[in-house]
Amino acid sequence: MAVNIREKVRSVFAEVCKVDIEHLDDEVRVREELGIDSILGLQLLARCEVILGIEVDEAACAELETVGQFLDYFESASGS
Amino acid sequence: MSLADEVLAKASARAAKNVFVDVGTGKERVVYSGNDFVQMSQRIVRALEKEGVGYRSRVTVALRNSATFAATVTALLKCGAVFAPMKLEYRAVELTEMFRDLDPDFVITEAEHLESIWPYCDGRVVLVCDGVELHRVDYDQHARASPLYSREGLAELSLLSPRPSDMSGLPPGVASINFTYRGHGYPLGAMIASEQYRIGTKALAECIDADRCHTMLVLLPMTHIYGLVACLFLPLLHDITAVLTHTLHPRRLLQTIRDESIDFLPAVPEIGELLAKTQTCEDSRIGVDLFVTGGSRLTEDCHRRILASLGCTDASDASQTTSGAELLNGYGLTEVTPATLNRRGDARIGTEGTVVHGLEWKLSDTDGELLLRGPGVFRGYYRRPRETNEALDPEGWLHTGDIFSVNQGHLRFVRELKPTCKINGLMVDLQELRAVLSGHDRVEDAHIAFRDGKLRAVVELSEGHSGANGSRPSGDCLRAFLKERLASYKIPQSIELSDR
Repeated sequence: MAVNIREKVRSVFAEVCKVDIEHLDDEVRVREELGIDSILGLQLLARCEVILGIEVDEAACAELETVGQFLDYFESASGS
Repeated sequence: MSLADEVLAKASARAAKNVFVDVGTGKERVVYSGNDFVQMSQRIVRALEKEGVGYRSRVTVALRNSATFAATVTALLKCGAVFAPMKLEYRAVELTEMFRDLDPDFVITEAEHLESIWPYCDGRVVLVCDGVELHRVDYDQHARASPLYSREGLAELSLLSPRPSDMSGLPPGVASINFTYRGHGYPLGAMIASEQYRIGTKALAECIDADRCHTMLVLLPMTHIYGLVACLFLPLLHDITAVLTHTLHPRRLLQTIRDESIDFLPAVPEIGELLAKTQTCEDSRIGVDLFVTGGSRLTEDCHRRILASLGCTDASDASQTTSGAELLNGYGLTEVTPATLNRRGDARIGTEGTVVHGLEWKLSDTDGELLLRGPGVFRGYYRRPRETNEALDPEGWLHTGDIFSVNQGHLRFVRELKPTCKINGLMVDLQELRAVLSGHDRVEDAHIAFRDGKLRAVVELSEGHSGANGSRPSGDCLRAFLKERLASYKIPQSIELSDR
């Protein structure tokens, strides 16, 4: 189940950032390396909310830096 | 009638009707009627007068979007003070220069922003707004309690032009000093007259046919000229209820649009695109009748996507959607807002519309730069005669620094002439970024470019960077250096290092 959520979120990153999913290692920095600005970030959060059926804490997400941290956050928020 | 008196008279006439509705982050909803707004403004006037704010007092306003922000601006206008809206995202280099330039007598802020603004408050009266009242904060007492916030070590810009020592250079009628960038590498305080706010609001109201708008969503920062005109003066002077939200989360925005029956949304194009993408996922249209974009470039593709999300089934060439909703794109700058705007019923895709009433305009014969003249144009840059003379020629024409082409009266933005760019509606001065990067002791020079919507820096490292006292700085190291000094939206997404 947890793996499934991580892969779903990774797919959203790939779709929103228009990068191949194999380039989205956990260590990748979302702002610096993927160029996610505030607007793109909000689009990403909104997509994840719809797919996972959860409501994210925007302030908590603003503190996250890497793909892995986002995956951990969504995994935890989904109760996995 | 003064602008403040006009605002208060209009609010008073609305009596029990809603003027502002603050939906916060969705958990609580606070409503301000016309009477509430008048009482709040009058209470702030009394508090300001008690503290000594009066004619020509210079007052920095660093508040979030709120009914209190609007009431504070109204109260300051009523007192005859000159307010300077200050973005809360600014960092040390920017704040240092703006506070030195303006040298405000008073600073109005909120408790949560006090610490970041505190290093610039020595010798000034600091008033903290708790949403209801203004409280004076004792500088010495707070400084002792906050030893971390020292003025020492604050970064400074090195490119500044000489400034006259005379601090009184405020022409009559100036209501505010709004900081902006023109590609010089440092901020300039544009002097905006009350008349300019009145003219800009009237021009906007005409283009959008404000009588058809009833409830608007406020997303634009009121610290920005576009936000002041479209989200503060327009609703107050034209009987529109302004709904304030503190999130840009697209699903929550779409929900608020539905819940609050929003019919008018002024925003930057990036927000339109964000809502359009979310709407596509959720299969419902953005439920507003009028979407006005400005602040940064709206591409034709983006225009069509937003149109589709407004309910247009055939976005091939129509500006008016089959749902009846419209998208109007415009152009303005701190020095004159709005300058151009499409009009209801006459909007054209890919254009910034026609020049608004009351402004003379022409395109420069040499390069097509848009020149504007009229009472809606700013009064110069505070304490910056050289930069003022560069922007305003002897015949009174404002040189916008932006190149346009024209087709049947509709203007189309071509490119910037000045070294600046817009990211999510926010101006980035490429020279400022270069100057700050060059302040790093391992950096010889930096080349900044804006391509494909991304800010990129190529940094030339100085010789001997791997010497005894330091190793080769990494891109992350330089990014951290910039984060301490510049607002986050000015940090390049790509930093490439090159050795000399």
